[in-house]
Amino acid sequence: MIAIEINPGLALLVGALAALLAPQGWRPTVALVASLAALALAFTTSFGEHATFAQIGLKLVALRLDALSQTFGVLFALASIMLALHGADPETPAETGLLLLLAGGAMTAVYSGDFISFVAAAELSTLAAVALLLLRKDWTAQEIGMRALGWQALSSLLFLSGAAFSIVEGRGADFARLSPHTVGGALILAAFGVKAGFPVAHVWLKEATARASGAGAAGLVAFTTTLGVYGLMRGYAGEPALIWIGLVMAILPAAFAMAENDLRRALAYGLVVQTGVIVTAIGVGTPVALSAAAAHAFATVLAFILLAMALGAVRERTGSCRASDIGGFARIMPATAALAALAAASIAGLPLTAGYASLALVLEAAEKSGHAWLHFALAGAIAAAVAHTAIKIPYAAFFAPPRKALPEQGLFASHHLAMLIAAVLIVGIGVIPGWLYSFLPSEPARFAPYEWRRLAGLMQLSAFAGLAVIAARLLRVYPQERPGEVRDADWLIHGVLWRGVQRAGGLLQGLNDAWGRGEGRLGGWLAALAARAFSRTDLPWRPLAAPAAWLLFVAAAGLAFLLGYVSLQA
Amino acid sequence: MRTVWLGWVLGAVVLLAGGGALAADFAATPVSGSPGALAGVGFGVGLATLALGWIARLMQGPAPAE
Repeated sequence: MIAIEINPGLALLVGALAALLAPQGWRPTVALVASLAALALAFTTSFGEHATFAQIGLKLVALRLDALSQTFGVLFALASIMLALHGADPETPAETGLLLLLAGGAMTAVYSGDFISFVAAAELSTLAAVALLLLRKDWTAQEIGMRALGWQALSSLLFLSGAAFSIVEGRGADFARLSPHTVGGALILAAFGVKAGFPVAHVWLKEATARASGAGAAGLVAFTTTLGVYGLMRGYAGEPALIWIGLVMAILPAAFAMAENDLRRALAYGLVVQTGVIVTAIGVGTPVALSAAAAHAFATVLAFILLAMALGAVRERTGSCRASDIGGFARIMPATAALAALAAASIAGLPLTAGYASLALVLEAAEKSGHAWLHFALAGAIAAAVAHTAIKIPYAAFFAPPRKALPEQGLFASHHLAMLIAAVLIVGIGVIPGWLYSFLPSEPARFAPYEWRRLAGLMQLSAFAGLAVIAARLLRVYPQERPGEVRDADWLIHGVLWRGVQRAGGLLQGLNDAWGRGEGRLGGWLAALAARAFSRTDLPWRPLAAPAAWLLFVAAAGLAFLLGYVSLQA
Repeated sequence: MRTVWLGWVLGAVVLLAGGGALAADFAATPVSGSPGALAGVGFGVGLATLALGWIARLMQGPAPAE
C-alpha cells in the first residue's frame, strides 16, 4: 500500500477553504470529496512520527499516527462524510465550510504530536463550532454562541498556559502522558475538561446543541466533546481522579435528561452521560479499559450523530424539538423514526449494535478493575441512559401521540442517506465487532462480546430498565412532558457567577470613573500651578504650561520609581 | 401506525429476551457472579431515574423562547 505522509485533517481544512470560496451549489460536492480524501489518508498513512521540524526551539510533530489517533481519526472522517451527505442549513450559507473546518480542526489535532500543533488545530475547530451558532439568523443562538466562545476561550487559555508551564517544566512540547500533579498538567486537564463537558462546564454543550441547526448539532455532538475525550486518553490515562469525575458525569445528568422538555437538550445530557462512562474507563486506565473507552467513543458518536440528525429533521418540519409540542412523527417519517430507534437501541446496548460491542467491553473493564462498586455504578449509568435517552427521546418525538397536527409526509432527502450510513456502521460493528476492535489502542483480540455471560448481563440490564419505564407508563406515574426549562448549573453560571461578574464590572467602572475624576482634578491643579508660574514669562510660552507640567509630573514619578527600584536592588 | 406497532413488537421482543436472560441466569448459576443482579440494577435504576426526573421538574423554570 502507498504510504502518504500528510496529516489527514489537512484534506478537510483545504476542503473547508474551498467550500467557503466555492459557489453554493458546489459546496456539498466539495465537502464530500474532502471527507472521502481524509478517510483515504487516514487509512494510507503509516504509523509513526512524520513531518517533524524544529520551531522556536521546540520539536514540532505535524503528523503522528498510532492506534489512538487512528481510532479517532477514522471516526472523525466517517462523521465528516455523514455531515457532508446530510447537507447544511440553507439559511446559513457558510455552514458547509464551517462543518468541514470543525471536522478538519479536530482531525488535524488528533494527528498532531505536540502541544503547539494540537492547540492550533483544535482552535480552528473551536472557532468553527462557535461560528455555527454566531452565524445563525437567531438572536438566542448568537447569544449562546457568545457564551460558548467564552467557555472555549477559557479552555484555550488553560491549554496554552498549561503547555507553557509544561515546556518550562522541561518536558518539551511532546503531547504524551501528563501529570495532573504539575501546574502545566493540571491546567491542560482543566482545558480538556471544558471541552469534554466536565460537571458545570457541560452547560455550553447543552445550550449549543439545542440552538444549532440539524447538521450543526450533529457536528457539535461528533467533534467537540470527542476531541476532549481524545486529549484525556492521550494525556491522563489511568488517572484515578477521572474515575470520580466520570462517574459524576455519568450519573448526575440523568435526572436533568429525564426532566428536560427540549429533546435536543436531553440529547446533550445523554451525551454527557456517555462521555462520563468513557472518562471513567480512561480513569481506570488498564489496557482493556482504554480500549473500552475508545470503542465507546466510537459507538457513542455514531449513535448520537444519528439521533441528532433525526431530531434535526423533526425540528426542520415543525420548528420545535419540545416534547410538549411534538410527537407521532413515526406516522409521517417512518424511515427517520426507525433509524432513531436503531440509535436508541445502540445507546441501550442491545445486541447487534455498536453500543453492545462497546458497552460489553466497558463492563468487562469495570469488572476486571477489582472494584465491584465501579461495575455496578457503570451498570446503573447504562440502565439510566436506557430510560432518559434511549426510550424518552425517540418515544417523545416519534411514537408518542401527536400533540399538534402533523405536517405532510416528507420525501427522501439527502439526510436519510447520511443517517443510513450511520445505521449501517452501527449494525455492522454490532455484527462484526472485530472490525472496531482491530483499531483500538490495545486490541482486545480474545474478547468475545457475544459470550453468553455478557449477553445475559447486558440484556437483563437494558430490558429491565425498559420494563421500569413501561411499568411507570402503565401506572401513569411517568413524568408528563410539559413546557419549561430545567436549570442545573445554569443557576450558578447565569445567576450567581453572572451577578458577580456584573458587580465586579460595576466596581471596576466606579474605580475607573474615580480615577478619571482624580486625574482631571490633578491635571487642573497642575495646569493652574504651571499657568501661574508661566504668567510672568512672555506670552508665547503660556500654551505650553499644562503639557510641561504633566511632563514634569511624569518625569518626577518615573524618577521616584527608579530610585525606589534601585534602593530595593541594593 | 405500522411503525408504532413495530415499536411495540420490538419492545416486547426485548422484554422477552431480557426475561429469558434472567431466567437462564438463574437456571445456569453461576453464569454471572450474582444471578439477576443486573436485572435488579436495571429495574431499580430505571425507576430511580423517573423519580429523579420528577424531582428535577420541581426546579423547572419558564420555557425559553423557541
